[in-house]
Amino acid sequence: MVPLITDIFTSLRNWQKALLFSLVSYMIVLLGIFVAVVFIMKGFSKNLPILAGITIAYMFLMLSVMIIARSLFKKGLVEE
Amino acid sequence: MFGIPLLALVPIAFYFGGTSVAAISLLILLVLSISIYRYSPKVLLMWYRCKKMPSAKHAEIDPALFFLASKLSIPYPRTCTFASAVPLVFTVGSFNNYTVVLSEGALNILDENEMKAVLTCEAAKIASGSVPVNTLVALIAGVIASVPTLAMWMSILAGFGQEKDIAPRVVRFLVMGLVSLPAALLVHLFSVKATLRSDEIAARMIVNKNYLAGSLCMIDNYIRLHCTENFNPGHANLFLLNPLRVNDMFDVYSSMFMIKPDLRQRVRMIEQMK
Repeated sequence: MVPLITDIFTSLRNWQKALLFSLVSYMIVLLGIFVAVVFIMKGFSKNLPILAGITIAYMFLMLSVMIIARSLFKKGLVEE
Repeated sequence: MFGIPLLALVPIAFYFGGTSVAAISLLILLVLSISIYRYSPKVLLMWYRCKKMPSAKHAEIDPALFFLASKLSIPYPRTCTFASAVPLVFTVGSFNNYTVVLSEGALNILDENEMKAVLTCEAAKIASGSVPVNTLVALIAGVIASVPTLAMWMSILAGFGQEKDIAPRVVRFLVMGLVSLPAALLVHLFSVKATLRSDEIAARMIVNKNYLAGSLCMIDNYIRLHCTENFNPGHANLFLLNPLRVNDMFDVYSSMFMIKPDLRQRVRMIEQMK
């Protein structure tokens, strides 16, 4: 499993790795939003619909931007 | 162009305050947009702590620039220098006021013919009309891309370690992950890609085009072998050659800003020009 993941990771280009790490950073922000919502609304289970809605909207926006970025970078970037 | 997204604030102002507030907000936004466009070159020159060219160098460069300005029918650009060992050249400007900036490394390394070739390339960029937009894009993308450095220094001041320690670098890496994408999209979508066009114009004007190809190769070799300085990735599109390199995993976000054409493509195009 680990060698497979390593092989996939090393075969990625630098800008693809950068997009992957950006995705991780934006996931951390989503986690921060979850923590903030749970603290403000004082509960997790009862606020699941709100959290699900926030997640769906956030992920939709983020994946749209990533797809646009991927198509732009694939055409416009120069590899070293 | 960059004021258009700000126009979305006008309906919000109208909703909360009525027509007069919307009119005042529109006026403020117009003044803000024009001011940012007008002063973007000055901000970039201050960013790099540019100073006046030494008089000896200015005496060498001045006649060449004057000739180029008259030949290409462009306003005569001022010249400045900034402290960097890397031989870099860039041009900023807006409203027909342009400044060609050469690093101290460029002044020391380039000989007379190479200097003329490089200046011809920069003058060609001015003639192509790409400098004002690229200046504005570089300023905004540069401000966005400098946020991770701010976060790193905040983490250092908060006691996470020193500049070379892992914790501040991880903080910088995570924040870079957030801001690199919007900054890179800004550069990709709005900057004018005039490098090949300006190389073509410069190659047609220079008597011996090998000086241009040779100076580009020399600058690129220096950047590959000796460059240890970090440049703001948002400004990479301004420079004659891309100074960004992906040396380790912490530099991986620089790869999103490498939109300058490959050097081999540029040299091949210059050599094929008649």
